[in-house]
Amino acid sequence: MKIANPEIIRKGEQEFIKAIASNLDWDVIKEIFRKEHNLELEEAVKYKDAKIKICDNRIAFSLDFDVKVRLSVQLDRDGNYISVESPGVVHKSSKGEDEHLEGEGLSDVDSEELEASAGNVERQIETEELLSDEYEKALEEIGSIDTN
Amino acid sequence: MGVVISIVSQKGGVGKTTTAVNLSAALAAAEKEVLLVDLDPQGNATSGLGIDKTKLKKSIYHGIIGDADPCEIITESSIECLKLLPARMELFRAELELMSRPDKEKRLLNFLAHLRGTYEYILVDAPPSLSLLTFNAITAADFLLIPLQCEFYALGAVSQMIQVVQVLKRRLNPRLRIAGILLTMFNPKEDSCLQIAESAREQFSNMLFKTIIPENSDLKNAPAHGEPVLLQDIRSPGSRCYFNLAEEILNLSH
Repeated sequence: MKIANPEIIRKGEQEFIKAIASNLDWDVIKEIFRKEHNLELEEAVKYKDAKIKICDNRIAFSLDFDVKVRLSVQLDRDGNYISVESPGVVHKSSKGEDEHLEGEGLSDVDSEELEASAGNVERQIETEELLSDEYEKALEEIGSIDTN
Repeated sequence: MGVVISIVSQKGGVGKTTTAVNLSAALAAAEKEVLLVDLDPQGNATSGLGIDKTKLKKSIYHGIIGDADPCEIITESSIECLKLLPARMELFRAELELMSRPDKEKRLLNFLAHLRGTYEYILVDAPPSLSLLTFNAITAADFLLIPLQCEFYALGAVSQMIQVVQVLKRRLNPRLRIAGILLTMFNPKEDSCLQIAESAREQFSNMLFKTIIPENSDLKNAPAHGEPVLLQDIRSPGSRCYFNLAEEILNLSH
């Protein structure tokens, strides 16, 4: 038994969420990305989607954005993976202060946190490449079914 | 967890949509919660269930490109347990729009993920081509049902389809299995039909369904009334065959 038009509720929710999204403090969000994920956002951020959900028994707003991030993948001359670097990559110094890494200093980083983060990025890149690769390979194989 | 069965063949006119509509109806009549996904831009499964496409606000196109949630698209049918994700010609555009997306062949898989908990059987009516939409239907499926029209060219089409399925299983969907090959439009009075059926038994013996769908005027005429055949005449040969096929599907181990 409906007592209100769900379309109006949905539109109202979307407008509400868009208002929140347009008033976010981006300096703080960029700092969270830099500290928590060792990532520096490169360019403008584009709002994509949002949902209202329950997080830790509280109503939460989940906002999705498309952002551009520059990553440099480091490998040695034998082709072995070393690390992934973002321009904003940071590590904890021995004094416990945040410090920007520049140029060759990256290879000195030995933080577990950074490795875990780099590992996640690496796995994500691998997965996306694998998907695309497998699709292309499947097409190639299918295209040669009658010729082999 | 629900089972996704995609009905596929790159050849047109082999009975994909007739099978999708009537098998869905037979499973729903057995009180299974069924979702029929029309993934063919021609939208024949949609009109076959009596849905007026012009009155739809959204279709599977919006779902697959990420512009709508399932609840915005799912449409009721005249059978209580049978729901539909309808399609219209706009679905053609999805091929082009998805091409640059890294998950282009997994859009349907991802879209259906949350619906597996709601529906016991999700049947996908794929388009008659080896297109991105068909690859989505195959990537999303646990099982494939491949109709084989009793006609010479159809035999070659099924052999090709099986090779395609082997590639896609290896590359994109390791859990994929062929539920079976379904002989359709069978006329025992035609020698060519008998020969094709015999060849099919030789080539695909362990993959053939026991049920054979006859060439039947009730099945041909049912879409004009916008209803599955079993709603028009539950005792017709076409209805009986789709009930038998539904029984085979219910016995699939998954």
